[in-house]
Amino acid sequence: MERPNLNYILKLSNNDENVKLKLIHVLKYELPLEIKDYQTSMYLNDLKQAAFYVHKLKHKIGIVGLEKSYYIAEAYENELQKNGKKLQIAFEKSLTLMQTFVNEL
Amino acid sequence: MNCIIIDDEMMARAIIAQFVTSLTKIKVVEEFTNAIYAIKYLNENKVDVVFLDIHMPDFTGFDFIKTLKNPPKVILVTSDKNFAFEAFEFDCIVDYLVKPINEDRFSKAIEKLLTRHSTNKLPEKNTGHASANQEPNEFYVNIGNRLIKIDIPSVTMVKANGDYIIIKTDSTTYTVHTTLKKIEDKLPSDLFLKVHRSYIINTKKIIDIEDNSVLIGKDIIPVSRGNRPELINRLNLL
Repeated sequence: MERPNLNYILKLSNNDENVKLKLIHVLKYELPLEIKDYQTSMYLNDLKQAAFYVHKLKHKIGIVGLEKSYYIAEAYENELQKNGKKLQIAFEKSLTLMQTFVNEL
Repeated sequence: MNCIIIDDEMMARAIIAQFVTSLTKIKVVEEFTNAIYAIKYLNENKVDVVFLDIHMPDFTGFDFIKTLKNPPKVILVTSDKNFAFEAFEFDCIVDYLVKPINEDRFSKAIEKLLTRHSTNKLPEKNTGHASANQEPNEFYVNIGNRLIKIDIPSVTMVKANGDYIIIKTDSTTYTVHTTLKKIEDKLPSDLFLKVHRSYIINTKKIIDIEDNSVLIGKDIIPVSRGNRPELINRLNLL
């Protein structure tokens, strides 16, 4: 199974500790909010709105280096747009993996 | 050149601002979570380039461009690869970056932007060299193994901190192993003033002055009694 990492953030911050911490802080702050928004949309069965949040979460999945999960998110976003949700479990596994990783930062 | 960033995602704004600050001479003057807020700003301010997300609630990036009579140059930044064709129907769109942005791709977009900018307007070379009669507008600091360019007008304050100095700009904070004296020599004296033995401030960034301190951004900077008259002298008092 793929593992999340901070390679992107480390490269972007280029050894500047302040930049690294700022980016991690933003990630820690924003990720749970977006996950909650996604979950609320799913609870309300508003799949178009859920697709909107999957689109946002896709970026963060890319940031933590989950390449396979990125493609799952991309396919899931398209699926939700068409009122399908076969990839829901796979996508939500990626979310859990990412959130667990971010919680430990 | 200056830019604004429009993206409802905080992480995306932080990443774009970091790329802009570390790789270009472009100054980030404002960030917006919503394109509607940005329209008002663009009506009142001159902006050279907009980093623009497409997927935003209520008002998409394309809606935003359509509302502008004379749109500035736009670099689209999106997680969606499917809009490239539509994007290039707009003359103002210089490039299309897919999130997460990588450094090489970002640099290419900036090259395109500078080429378009210099073709359309006065040439503005990003060499970092000042002409013979012009004071340099930036300096470089050594952080890790890298020389990082800092745009002088963006510096808000410099603070001595042991063997290091902390340089704050509008968007970033740098910790550099040097002395306050060395940086003082690099900063134009008409813009910067040493207000305390540990602080140099950009006088254009002062928000208010109270007794023996000044407010710059969110920082309260102490002002020595001896430096206060010079500080007051610099202000355009009514």
